[in-house]
Amino acid sequence: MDKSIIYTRVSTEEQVANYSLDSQRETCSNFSKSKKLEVVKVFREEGASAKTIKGRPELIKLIAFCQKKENKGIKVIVYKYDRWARNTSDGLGLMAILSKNGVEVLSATEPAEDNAVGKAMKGMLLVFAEMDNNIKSERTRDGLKAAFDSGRWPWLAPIGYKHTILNGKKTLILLPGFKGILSTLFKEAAVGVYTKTELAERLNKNGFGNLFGKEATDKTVYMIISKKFYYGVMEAKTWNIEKNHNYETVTDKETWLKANNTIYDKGLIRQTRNESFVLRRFILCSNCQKPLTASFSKGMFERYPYYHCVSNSCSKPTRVAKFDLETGFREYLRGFQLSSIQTKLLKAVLLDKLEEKIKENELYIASKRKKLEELNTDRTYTIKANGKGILSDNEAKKELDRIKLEENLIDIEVADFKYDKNEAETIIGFAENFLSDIGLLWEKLDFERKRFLLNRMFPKKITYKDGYFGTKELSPSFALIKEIQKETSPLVRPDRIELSSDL
Amino acid sequence: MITISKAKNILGKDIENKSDEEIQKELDMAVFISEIILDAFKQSCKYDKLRLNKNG
Repeated sequence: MDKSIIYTRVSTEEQVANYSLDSQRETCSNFSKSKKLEVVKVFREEGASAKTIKGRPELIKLIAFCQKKENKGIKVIVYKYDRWARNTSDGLGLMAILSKNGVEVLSATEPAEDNAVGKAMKGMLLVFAEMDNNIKSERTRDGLKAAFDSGRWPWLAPIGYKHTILNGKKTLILLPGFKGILSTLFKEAAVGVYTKTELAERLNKNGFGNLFGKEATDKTVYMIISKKFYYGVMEAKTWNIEKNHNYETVTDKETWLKANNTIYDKGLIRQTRNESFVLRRFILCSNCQKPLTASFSKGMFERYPYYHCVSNSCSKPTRVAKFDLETGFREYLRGFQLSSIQTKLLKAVLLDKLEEKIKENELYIASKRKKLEELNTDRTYTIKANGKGILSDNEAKKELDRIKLEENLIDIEVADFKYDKNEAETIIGFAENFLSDIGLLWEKLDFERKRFLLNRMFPKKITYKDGYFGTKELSPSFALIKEIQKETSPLVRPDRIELSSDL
Repeated sequence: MITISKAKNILGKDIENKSDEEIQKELDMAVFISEIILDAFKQSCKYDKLRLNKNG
């Protein structure tokens, strides 16, 4: 008795349509019996498309099986030729490979004789299988395009959204809770001080994991931030078209642009965060204009921190000790002050913020006063309850001690510094003094704020050469004070501010 | 909160040639620096208070 094997396949869509593997197998078994073939093996391919061979592990196993010597002349039974392939060239190509070992592919429902006409018939059936598939693809594409043109998002809902039907119409809704955290994500990304990993951590801290079902990663951040959908534009990259949509948005175009420019295009903060080297990847090598990286060099007794150029193409890489570079940079900053516009604006913003703080302060003190009143009521109640014998002396003492402790804590909190209306003039004076030296401002900043200031103050970074710094662009919020630099810094040539091309 | 239109009123002629985007950048910078100043001021006041307490 000749041998046969059965190959069954369903794609994901067909599974839904109940095109079952078992019914295919049964038909193939019956066909084998009718042809007096013994079924020796069954290959079941589940949830796989036949458009390509890739992604069909069972088919690959089947080919290997059929190419064995002992399986020479075996018959492969499929329910229909479209189970074998939906691409004519692939289907015929595979048949040709198998035929070298005398293996033949037969359809249980589309019998074709083993002669010239039969072979031509097989080819035709595979052509129809491919055509059927192409028609389906075209219909799907047309449907998607029509939906897109009408302003409806036809694909998988973006993170935070869900497809639903409202008043009989398909639509997308923003799920509760997502608006706040996605909006915060864009704002934080736009600031330009966080890496993608840090943004993912912050997303998770804000409860993203609970809402989405799994924690955010840097890939999640990329998927969200790179999508224009979140500010109101649908993109169809395959057709290279865009269209505004009317779904609820989580950010505005300006913030979206800032977030994307900061994180992906300009590469300002794509680097790993290393707080030991605040100028890392911000200072450019004078020779090749590539950003300097930084690391510790091993010495005999300790490690020495250095900034250095690691570009392979650099013929004269810059290498400078951390102390020298950072001290020089701090001196360099002393040569700047706020521009007159920025000074004027800052004064207004300071007074505005002070007013905000005073209001916050008043609310805070009012809440503490209320708490003190409650504690006083508790005290009166405790004393009365003790007098009536409801509370024992011991219980009453414990309660009174707790009340006293809480009152003391509130006194300490309230006595702490509070902003005052009379403080306005003092603060303005303090600000003028404080900002007379940007180097002093720099020293007061933490890592994140330093990176923010760097990126904003010097949008095209800074070039360094032998103790001198220069930049191609200075933020208009700042101005150079040449006189101060000449007097105070032997390291810095203020006229180098517009250099760089000659470095 | 200072908005772009408020900023335009404050700055008047100084910003005649500036776009909204440029003004927004100036405003962002002012907000950033003002927060640093208020923090630094608070710290210095705390320091003064501690010093006063210490000196009796």
